[in-house]
Amino acid sequence: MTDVSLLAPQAEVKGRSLWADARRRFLGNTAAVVGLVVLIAITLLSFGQPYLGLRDPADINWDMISAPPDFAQGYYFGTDQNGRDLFVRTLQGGQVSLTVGFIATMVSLVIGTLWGASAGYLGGRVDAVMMRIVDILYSIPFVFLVILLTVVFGRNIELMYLAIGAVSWLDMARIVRGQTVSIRRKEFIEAAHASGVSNWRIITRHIIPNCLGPVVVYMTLTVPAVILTESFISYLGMGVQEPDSSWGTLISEGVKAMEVAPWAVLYPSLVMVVTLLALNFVGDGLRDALDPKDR
Amino acid sequence: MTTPVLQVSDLTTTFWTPEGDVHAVSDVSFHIDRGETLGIVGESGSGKSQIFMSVMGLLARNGRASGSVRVTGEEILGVPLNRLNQVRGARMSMIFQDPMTSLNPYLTVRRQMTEVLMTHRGMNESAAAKAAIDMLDRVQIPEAGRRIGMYPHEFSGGMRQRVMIAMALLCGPELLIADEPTTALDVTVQAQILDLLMQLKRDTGMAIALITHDLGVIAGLADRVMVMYGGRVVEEASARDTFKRPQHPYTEGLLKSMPRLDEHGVKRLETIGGQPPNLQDLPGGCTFHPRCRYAVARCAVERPLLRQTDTGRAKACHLDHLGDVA
Amino acid sequence: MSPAPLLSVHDLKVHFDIGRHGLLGGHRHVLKAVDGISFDLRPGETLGLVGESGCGKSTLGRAILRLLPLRGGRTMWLGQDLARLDAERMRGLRREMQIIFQDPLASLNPRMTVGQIIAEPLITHQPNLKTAEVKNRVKAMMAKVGLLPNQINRYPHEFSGGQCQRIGIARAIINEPKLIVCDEPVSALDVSIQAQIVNLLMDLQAEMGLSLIFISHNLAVVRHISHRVMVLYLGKVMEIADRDSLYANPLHPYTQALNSAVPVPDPDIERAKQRLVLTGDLPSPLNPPSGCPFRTRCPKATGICADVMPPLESVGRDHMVACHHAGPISG
Repeated sequence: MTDVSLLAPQAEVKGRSLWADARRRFLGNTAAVVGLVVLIAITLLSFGQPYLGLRDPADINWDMISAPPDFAQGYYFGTDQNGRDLFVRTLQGGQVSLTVGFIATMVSLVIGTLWGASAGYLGGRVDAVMMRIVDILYSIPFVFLVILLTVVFGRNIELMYLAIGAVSWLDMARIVRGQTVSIRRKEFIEAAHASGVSNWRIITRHIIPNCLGPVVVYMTLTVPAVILTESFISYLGMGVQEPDSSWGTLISEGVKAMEVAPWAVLYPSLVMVVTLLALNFVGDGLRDALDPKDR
Repeated sequence: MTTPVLQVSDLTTTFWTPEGDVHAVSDVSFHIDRGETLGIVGESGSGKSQIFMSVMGLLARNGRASGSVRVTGEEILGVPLNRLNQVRGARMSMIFQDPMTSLNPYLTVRRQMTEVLMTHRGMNESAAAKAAIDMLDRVQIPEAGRRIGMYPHEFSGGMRQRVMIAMALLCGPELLIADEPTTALDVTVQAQILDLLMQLKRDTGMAIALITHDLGVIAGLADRVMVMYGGRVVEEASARDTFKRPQHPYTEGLLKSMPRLDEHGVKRLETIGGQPPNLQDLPGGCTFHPRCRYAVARCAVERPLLRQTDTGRAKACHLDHLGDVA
Repeated sequence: MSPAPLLSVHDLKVHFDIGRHGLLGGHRHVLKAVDGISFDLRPGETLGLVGESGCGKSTLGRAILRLLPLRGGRTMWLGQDLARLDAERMRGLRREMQIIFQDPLASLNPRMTVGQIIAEPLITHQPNLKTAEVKNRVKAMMAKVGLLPNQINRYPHEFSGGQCQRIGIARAIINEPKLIVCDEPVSALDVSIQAQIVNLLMDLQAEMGLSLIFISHNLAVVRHISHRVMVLYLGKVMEIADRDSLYANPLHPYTQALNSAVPVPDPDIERAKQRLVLTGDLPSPLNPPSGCPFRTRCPKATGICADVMPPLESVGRDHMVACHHAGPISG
């Protein structure tokens, strides 16, 4: 009938999955690919900082206090008011900021997806109770919560991961629930039911894989939001402490010395802005690649 | 000889997609005379709707049409939008499968109908309202005077289709394009709408282009039938000839594969094998040859042109008679 | 005489609560989608369900498979009451009854390959089957429904509508069920493909001895495939009869109107036909007319129709009709 069958009656044809389609579209999007490359570069530099043979971030050079960038001596971003290399400190700050972004996003992904999918799939009373809990958590002022936590437990970085993660899954849960409710009505779910497939398998095999598109997109939006939140908290002085740094603390310190050493606020901000932009480009690219309307 | 209401020549409609250009309509020529009803039949992807989207200037943004479209002799393909707007809505109008696509859900029917009359006819508000109510009466909407103040969603599916027909008729068009007007309706309501169209055709003498996938819908209404496949016209004939003596293997196959309510005794349905054509990857030669039971070697290499076979009928097939090669 | 029924439905009711469930109560409407339907289905038989939108035909199909909760009535499967089965036994029984849907693409999970889709019912009921065996069975099933077995790793979006429907059919028959509910299986398909699917279903039925419940609004297709036909209107049975008497001698005015409304692809017949066109629209199922639901559009309606719902009465061998004025089409 078709020539495929004549050429290779036995050979199995490889399918083109929706993910493969999306990957092809994503790779065709220049802005998104550039964003991804930039993101990978910044991540590698930040986490590779201890192994790159750079100065120790705690090293103090008494000859160069608040010095402007000096390429000859390898101070690419200049130094801060304690004579420490700002380039290295920015990379080190990136470790904290990116880790916070990653961990909080993962927490929100796991809790949010399971919570939202369960509420949406089970429906009825269970759904109502689960989503009211989300509403209640929403109504707690976030900064107030962080202040309270730092007052009770003292300042530490793990606590901040926890606080940010605990808040950022709420949006994810709502998104996944909405997706689940619409997917639950699809006929392939009914077909699975009619075949006697168990609820757990329906959630894991049928519902979650079909929610993943918007979830992945939302994840790329959560990471910058979390990084900004961390920076904000650190800027307020409740987050990371010396001698550790994050982009937030660096900017906060830089602002104090802005008039004498503008580079101290300029460069960390620049790195952060570039990272956030890259993340947004990647997010946009993913959204376009995964959008079923494009089909 | 009078000028036809619609004369389409060498119409080709192309859509640009990331996967390459798609020819939805290829070299289509036909005409519709005054007062004539032309049925356009085809499956999904046959290009039957896109012909008239091109005619109405309603193509999606990635679509382009070339060729010539004349409405009562006047070229409208590629003319500026304000010129096109004087033709569409006034001299020709279109109704769709889903009335909600052309009715604004936020405005009352009265507002939508009077607006058309006030812009195209320059009527004042009260005269327009009166004309609109008359038109609703004409499409047999009970209590038109009261119902005209309602919103589209307050009408049932069949009534909504009537409202849309009334709106299309407001300016007394010479041509009504009906794109699957009854596909979304229940069969008893479909019968009502078909009756209405038949009556309007008799009373107003306007020409109708009836686009459908259902041969049954066309049988009662069309004077002539044009069968589309893979973006091309494969057969054109009077309704009677199309149904009684189809000349193209595709038309014949379509008729035979339909289970009929008036047929007794159970026999296996005859089928057309294979799948509908993929416009992005059309077979060479005759587009229909992979599914054609009469296909010969020539069909795979040479595309048959639409040729006259009799007075008033034409087909695009190398064979002279079906059954030559069985 | 006739063999014991495979499925016996008695006074089945499915009602939906529509409206607010708020704390303050609010308005509560009851939609009686299926309201007291009874019938038997014999092994190897095809029962056609016809009716217009809102008549409850799809709801009935799903209620039979216990995909929807019943408000009342009984469904007996080979003598056992389905409503009394616990969830685990019901899940086990599901391999015997399957469903095919209207929208072929929507009924297939877009993230799964054809092989995974067809295999799912099989591994659900026989989790111990070896992977190679599952694959062989899936390929055999694909060949059986007219798909190329080498396409096993493809995804649904790579197939046309007709092929997707074949995938849905392969999934439905892989466990060799006794009953398949076909919910408008050809309505979304092109005309030239409809015949392929109808023929496939008829072949499979003959080969596997399946019983089919064939739901459709297309009377011509139903006539072609069914042994018996049941006509529904607003959740109630209007007429049920074997195919030939229903189409040759319809006794209910609604059946007569339906028959007359279907356009025939023949200009001579179509133009000469005295059409029995019903006036008005379908009433809202939320607020059905009193007495006989069809009376608002019925050409024969009289006073009694508004007061009393006519019972479904036997009028001949295998022919039952629910109408006070049942009779052949008059002049």
